[in-house]
Amino acid sequence: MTPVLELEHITKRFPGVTANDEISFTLKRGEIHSLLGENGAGKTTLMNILYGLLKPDEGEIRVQGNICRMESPKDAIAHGIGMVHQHFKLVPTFTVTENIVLGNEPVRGLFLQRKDARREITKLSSDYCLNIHPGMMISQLSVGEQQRVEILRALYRGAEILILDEPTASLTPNECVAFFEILKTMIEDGKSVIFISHKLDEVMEISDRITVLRKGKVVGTVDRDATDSKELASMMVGRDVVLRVVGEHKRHKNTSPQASLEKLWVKGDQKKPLLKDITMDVYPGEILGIAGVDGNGQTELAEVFAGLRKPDKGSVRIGDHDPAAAVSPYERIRQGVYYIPAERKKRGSALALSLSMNLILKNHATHPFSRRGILNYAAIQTFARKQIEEYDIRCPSSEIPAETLSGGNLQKLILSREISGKPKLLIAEQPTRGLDVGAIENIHSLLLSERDRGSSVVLISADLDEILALSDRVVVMYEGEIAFTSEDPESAREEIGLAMGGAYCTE
Amino acid sequence: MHGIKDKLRKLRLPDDFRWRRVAIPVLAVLAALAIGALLILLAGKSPLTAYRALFRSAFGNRNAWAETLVKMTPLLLAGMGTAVSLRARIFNIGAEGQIFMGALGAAAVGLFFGNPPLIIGIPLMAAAGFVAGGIWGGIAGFLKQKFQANEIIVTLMLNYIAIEIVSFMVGGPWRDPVGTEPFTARFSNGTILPIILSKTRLHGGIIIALIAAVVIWWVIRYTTYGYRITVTGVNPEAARYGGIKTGRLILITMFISGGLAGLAGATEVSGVHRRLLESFSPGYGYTAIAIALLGRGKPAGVTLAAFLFAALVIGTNGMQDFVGVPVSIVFIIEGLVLIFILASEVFQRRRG
Repeated sequence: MTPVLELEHITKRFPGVTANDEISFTLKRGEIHSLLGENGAGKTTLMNILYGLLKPDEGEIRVQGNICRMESPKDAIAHGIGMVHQHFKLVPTFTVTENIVLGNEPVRGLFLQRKDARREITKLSSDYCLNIHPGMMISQLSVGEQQRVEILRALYRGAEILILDEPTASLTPNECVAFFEILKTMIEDGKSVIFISHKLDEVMEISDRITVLRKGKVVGTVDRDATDSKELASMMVGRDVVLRVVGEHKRHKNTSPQASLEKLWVKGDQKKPLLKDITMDVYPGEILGIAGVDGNGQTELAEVFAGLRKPDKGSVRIGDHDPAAAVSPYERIRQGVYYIPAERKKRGSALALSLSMNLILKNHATHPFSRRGILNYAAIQTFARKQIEEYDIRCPSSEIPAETLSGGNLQKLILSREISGKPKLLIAEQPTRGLDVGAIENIHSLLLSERDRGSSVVLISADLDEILALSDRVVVMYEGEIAFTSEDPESAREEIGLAMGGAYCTE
Repeated sequence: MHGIKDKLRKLRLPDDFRWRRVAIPVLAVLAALAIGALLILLAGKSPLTAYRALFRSAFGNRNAWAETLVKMTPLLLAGMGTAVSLRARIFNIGAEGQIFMGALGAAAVGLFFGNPPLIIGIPLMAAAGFVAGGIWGGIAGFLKQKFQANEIIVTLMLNYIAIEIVSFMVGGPWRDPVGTEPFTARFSNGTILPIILSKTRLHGGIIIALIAAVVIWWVIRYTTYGYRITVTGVNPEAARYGGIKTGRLILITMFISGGLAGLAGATEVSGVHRRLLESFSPGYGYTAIAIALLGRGKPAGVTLAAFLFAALVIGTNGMQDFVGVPVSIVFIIEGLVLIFILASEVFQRRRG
C-alpha cells in the first residue's frame, strides 16, 4: 500500500545552520507517527515545509504517491493536510462556526451561509466525539476545547493528514487523556496523524512509530513496541541520560517551618481574587510541589514569597523574621529567599548585559563583588568563570551578553546565581519549561541537592511528572485556591491530576 | 524572499563594532551636508563657499576653536545630565529648566557672597548650580517615584516654570538697578570662571565639563550605583526582582541628571555672561536630548556628540554671517544630521 505521505531527502538551510538535512519520513494510512526531538532539532521547520510555509532547498513531497509542490498552506490544505499549531490561531470574539469557516466562507451573494456550515460542524463534532457546540464563542472555551476547534477546522477543510505541533503543551493531565481518545477515534476512521513532541512519555503512549530528529538529521525511525523511553531519550540527546532524577523523599515534620503563609489574600483587577485564603508551611529540607495549570495564582504566590507583591490580607513569615515588618525584594533576598522566575528573559535576567553582570544581580552590593560602593571587577569575573565552569553554562566567555545564550544555558545561569546566594527558601517557577532533556536532568538534580543541603524548595510547575518526581509534598492550586494537598504524592497521582483540572473546586 | 534577505545581509557593514561606531555618525554628517548642499544651491549660493565658511568658523583659527569649545561646555554638561537619566530609562527632557535653575543658584552665590577668592568662589558657585538644578530634577524624580507621574510631562512643565522664575528674578528682585535691560549686576570676581585662552572667550567651564564627563564615566562603570542604573535601564523588572530599590534610584538619578544640567547653566552665566540674564540659553537643554541620544548615553559618545553639535552651531552661524545662507537652511542641516544618525541607529539594530 502506498503511504499517504512521503518526504524524501528534505534539506533546508538557513544562514549558518542546516535546519533539515536530508530528512526522509513516511506516514502510513491510519497511523500516528511521532516526530521527536529537542528544541531546535528541526521538527517545526520540517512541518512548516510540509504545510507550505517554507520552501525546501532540496527534496520532494509525495502525497498518495504523487509529487506535490507546496507553495502555500492553501496547497497543503488542497492535498488534505491540516495543521494544528502550538499557539492557536482563533479569533476570540467569533463563534466556533465563524472561526472554522474563516477564510473560506460559504457565501450566497453578500450573505454568509452559516446553516450548512453549522450542520457540517455539528456532524463532525459528534463523529469524532469532540463535543464542541458550533454556536459558542471562542473566548468562552477552555484551552482544551479551543484545541478541538482547531482540529475541527482541519477536518472541516477535508484533512486526511493532521499535523499536531506540541498539542499537549497547554493541556491538563486529564485533558490529555481525553485528547488521546479523540486521536484514536480519528485513526480508526482512517485519518493519519503526525504528532510533534519532545515529551517521551506521551510519545510512547500514543504513537505507532517514532522518528527521532537531532540537529536537523534523522537519527532513526522505530516502532513503538520495539523501543522504550530510555532508548528514545538517548537517540534524542545523543548520549545516555538519567530520565527521572528521583530523590529519596523526606519529611521534616518535627522542625519548625522555614516559611509560613497564613490566610493570604491577593486581590486582582477583576472580581476574582488572585490568591484566596492561602495557608501553607514550607519546611527545611523538603521540596514542596505546587501543581497547577498556568494562571491559577502560582506566579502571584511566588511573587509574594519574593517580596515583589504585597498581599492584601494575611501574613508571610520567613524564618524568624517579623511577619508584620514591611518588606521589599531587597529584604527578602537578605532573608535568604531566592526566586527562579518563569519569565527568564523579562524578569530573571538583563539580556543586554554580560553573563558576569547578570550573575551578581542579587548580591552586587556585598563582598567580594564590591566594597564601599565600588565594584571589584576581578572578583566578579573570577566568580563568573567559576559559576560557568561549575554549572556547565556553555558560552565562549563570561563577558558576552546574556541574550546570546540558549534557553537552557540562560536558565542554568539564573539557577546558578540563585543557588550561589545560599538560599534558605528557593522558589523555582516552571524551572524546566521548554528545555531539553539534558538540561532538565541537570536542573532537577540541582534542585534536589539544594533540598539535601537543607534549604526549603518550592517547586511551581504545570508538569505533573516533574512535580511527582521531585516533590516531598504537593499542593494543587486552582483559581487562586489550594484545591488539594497530598503528603504522599506518588499514590495520589490521579487526584492531583483531577484537582489541576478543577474537579475539587469548592464552588 | 530569502534571496533578498541574504543580499541585504551582505550589504551590511562588517560586524567590527568599534569601526562602525565611528563610521556611522561620520557618514550621517556627510549625508546631511550633501542634502544641505542641494538646499544651499537652491538658495542661490555656492555650497563649496558655504561649507568652507562653516569649517573656518568652527576650526579655522584659535578663536574659532575657542568659540566651538565655549559652545561645547553647556552642551556637554546638559548632554551628560540627560544621558545619565536615559541610562536608567528615565526620559528627562527638562534639562532646559534645570539649566535655568542652575544659573539661578550660581547667581545667588555670584551676587550675594561678597567677593571670595577664586579657589572658594568657583567651587561654591558650581555647587550652588549643581544643587539648584539637582533639586529641580529631583522634583520630577520624586513625583515619578511617589505618584508614578510621567517624567516627560513633569520635566517639560518644570521647564516653563524655571524660565519664568529666572525671568521674574532678573526683571524684579535681582535686577541691576543701573542696567538697561532685565539682567542682574555683574557677579563678584571670585565667582567668575577665568578665561583659559587669552584674547578669546574660552573660560574654565570646559575643564569642569570634561572632568564631569570622566567622573560620570567612572561612576557608571565602577560603582554599585552605576551598576544599578545600568540594570534598571536595561530591564527595570529584572532590577526590581534583583532587589534594587528602583524608587530611590530614580530620585538620586534625577538629582544627578538635573545637577549636571544645573552645572551647565552655572558655567554659562558665570563664564560667558558674568551675570544672570533672561535668555542666556538658546535651547541648550533641548539640544542636550539629541546629544544624549547620539552619544547612546555613553560619556565618550556624548562628549563627541557635544563637540560635533558645538562645531555645527558655530560653523553654521558663520555660514550665515559670511555667505548669507538663510538661517532656516542651517536648522535643516542640523535636523538632518540628527535624523540620519538616529536612522542609522535603527538600521544597525535590525540584525538577523
